[in-house]
Amino acid sequence: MSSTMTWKLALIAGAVGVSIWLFYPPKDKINLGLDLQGGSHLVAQVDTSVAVKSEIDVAINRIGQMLKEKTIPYTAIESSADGLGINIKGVDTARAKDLREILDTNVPRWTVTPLESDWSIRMPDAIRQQVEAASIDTTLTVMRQRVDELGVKEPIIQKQGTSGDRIVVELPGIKDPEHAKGVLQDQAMLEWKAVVYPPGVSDFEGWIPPATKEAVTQLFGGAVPPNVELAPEVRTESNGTKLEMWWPLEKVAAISGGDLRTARRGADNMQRNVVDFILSPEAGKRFQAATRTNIHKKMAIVLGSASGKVVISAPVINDVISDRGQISGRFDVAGAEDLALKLRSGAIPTAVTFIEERTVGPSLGKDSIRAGVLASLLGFAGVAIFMLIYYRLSGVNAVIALLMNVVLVLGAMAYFGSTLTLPGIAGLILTVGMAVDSNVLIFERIREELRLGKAVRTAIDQGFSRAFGTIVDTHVTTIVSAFFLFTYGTGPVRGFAVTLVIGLLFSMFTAVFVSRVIYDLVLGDRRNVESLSI
Amino acid sequence: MLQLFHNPKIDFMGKRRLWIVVSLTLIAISLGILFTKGIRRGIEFEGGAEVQLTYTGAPDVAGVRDALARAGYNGAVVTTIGKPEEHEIYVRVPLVPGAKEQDLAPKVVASLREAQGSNPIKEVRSQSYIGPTVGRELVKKALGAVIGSMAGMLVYIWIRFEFQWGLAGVIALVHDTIITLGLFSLFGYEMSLPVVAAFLTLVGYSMNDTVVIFDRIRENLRAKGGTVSSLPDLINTSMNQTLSRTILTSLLTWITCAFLFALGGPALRDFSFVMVVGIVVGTYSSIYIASPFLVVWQEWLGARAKQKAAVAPQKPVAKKVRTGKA
Repeated sequence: MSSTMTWKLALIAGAVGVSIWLFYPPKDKINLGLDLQGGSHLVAQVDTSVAVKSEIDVAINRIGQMLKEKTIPYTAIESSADGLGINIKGVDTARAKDLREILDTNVPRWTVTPLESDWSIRMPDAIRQQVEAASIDTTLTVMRQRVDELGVKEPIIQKQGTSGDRIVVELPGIKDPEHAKGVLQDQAMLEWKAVVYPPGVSDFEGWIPPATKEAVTQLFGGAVPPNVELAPEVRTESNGTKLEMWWPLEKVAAISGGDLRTARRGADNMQRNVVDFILSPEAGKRFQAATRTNIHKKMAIVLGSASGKVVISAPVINDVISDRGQISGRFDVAGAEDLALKLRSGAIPTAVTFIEERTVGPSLGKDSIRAGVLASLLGFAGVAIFMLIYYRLSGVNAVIALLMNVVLVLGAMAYFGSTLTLPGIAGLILTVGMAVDSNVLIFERIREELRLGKAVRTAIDQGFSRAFGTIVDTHVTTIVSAFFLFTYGTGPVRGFAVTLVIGLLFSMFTAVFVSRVIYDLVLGDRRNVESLSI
Repeated sequence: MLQLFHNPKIDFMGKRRLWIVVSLTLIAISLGILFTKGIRRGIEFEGGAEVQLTYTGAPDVAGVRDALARAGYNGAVVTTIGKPEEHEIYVRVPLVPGAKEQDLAPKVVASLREAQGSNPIKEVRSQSYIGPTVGRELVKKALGAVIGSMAGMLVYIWIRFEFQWGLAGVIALVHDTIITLGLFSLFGYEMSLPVVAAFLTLVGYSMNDTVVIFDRIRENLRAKGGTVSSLPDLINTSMNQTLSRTILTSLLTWITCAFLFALGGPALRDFSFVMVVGIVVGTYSSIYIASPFLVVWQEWLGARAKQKAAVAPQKPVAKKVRTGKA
């Protein structure tokens, strides 16, 4: 055996060995797509306008707080009609300089237009775009956090699409997609807000608001003050009736979810489920001040979601609270766990809707694998039998090359960590069908050369070299279409395109190089080969 | 030696007009089917919810349909799938206009659970929901990908051969796609993501056959120094030389697809149908459409040259076919 031959055989054995080592056992080494192993594929549409709105609200909160602290008189602070700015009305003109200072520290790059006592402050487009981009990133981070907390193994969470306002979430093996969607989607914007009592109320600790918005408005004499907003609390009594209460609350929140350092499920002294939380030191100071002013009064805990704000509970403040506290709200264990989880991972600043869901149960996945693998094995057997009958010993050569092709593809898939999907299984067997084309091209060419009366060795030589150009052309055309397939497809279809391309690339190696080596090996150093089994 | 064809001398080109007429007729029929019957679109394109579930006992399809109608889901498709002893059904519900949709699939399951009675649902095998915007985008993307890959082929063949060769190949591809779509519609299969993938694969595969024949035509042209007395004869020889290979490889790929079609389960059936039909049509078009087009092009150019010659006499047109680079 010549030294080049030894070298070639070593290369082939090495490639096969490495591939088998890479993918064996396939159960552990090959990633299965969600369609095969079961799980949920979700696509979320992210609406960033909510984030812009809340950015405005935060600014209103901060400015409102500072106006109070610096005792600057004003009649109202509210967001502008288009939601992209703030209007402050009835500002004492003598304090204009102080207000300007507040605005410079809180909203430095915004456009400020004072008109006598009414000020209009607008968010510039550049800042709005920053806010939108940042809100998508935050949504992504928070979703990752929440998926981790749900205990899903090897999830995929990434942005999709050119505008980047879509998020793909892949949750392998998840059993309850509804729960997951709920957890991932909830904004979980938590705020503590002081209750604003209507005129004439003296029993601060016992007061319960009326059941309708209109009734509350009536208590305030037909219109709620500009710094007050209304939010409902819904209680389900033990007999099943629903009790609704509309709380009048300060627009400016004392603290919000972002101020939390951690939250977990706990129990109060009556063994009811609660959520215990710890605040950051800075927020602790603010909360201390707020609870001091509101002692023996009620403060509402408001949870904001895409569908609006809801009061979870409105406890009476009995003590000054600094950095730790409790949320009680008639939770069951799961409810308290979920709320704690959402608070820990932070609020989602955008409105998230799922526009696509594909959930496959594990049993369906198993059936798909069984059917796909069976069809592929029989398909392979069909091709192999045909090749053996038609090309006899050369057929053996082709079958070895094809088997090797499959081994190399599986090895490459394990190495790159690409995912095997059901269409991917189809792609694998289709690759076999297409890879055999190269063998056929070569064998037919060799037969032609033999018919022209050429010697076996010459015929083999020319068969391989003449077929090569054609083989390259046929491969390129298929790869071109696979490329477009890849750009078009998502998930399973991409898996198909990837398998197809890898398989075709390797078939260049197996059909051309490996088959040639096999011929050389079998024919050996014999000078005059009389006949070829083809 | 086992041979499909022993030294074949089939006159493919002699009846080329006949085959072009046959193909045009097939295309017309396919377009007719497409326009009258249309193509059923899967939920990826239409939007809606899809649920696959098993019951403990034999499912009552009509009952399920009624239960869905009572729950306000009109136009639901309910069919049994899989093996009869598995009591499995497939339910598809169209989008409800204007409603908040993202919980459509679980809601459908919930309303079926409510109506299950003495035959409880055993397992939800799969559930999907596709919103309306996703579908519209996918249609666009799918068309873009099919057209893109055809354009890619055109450019590649143009680079490797000549423009008219690329054009010939692409005309054959369009031919294959339309006829396969027609049959797809006729048999009432449903367009889905994997089916579009199958069409794209078909575009690539069908081009293979054409390229192999083109390669041989070019080789034979070069052997004759680029000038031939009769292009149809040369193409005939080339096609006869490659005939075994063309039929063999198509047959082998077809075998694998046929197994996928028969045994690959419902998820792969629509997908493999496209391949099973497309491979046959693609092989036919490589022989009877793509290469004859080269002759048609040649004749057309010749006719144009003659017209010119009538205006201003010039040298007689040599029958020279450009063989391209590479």
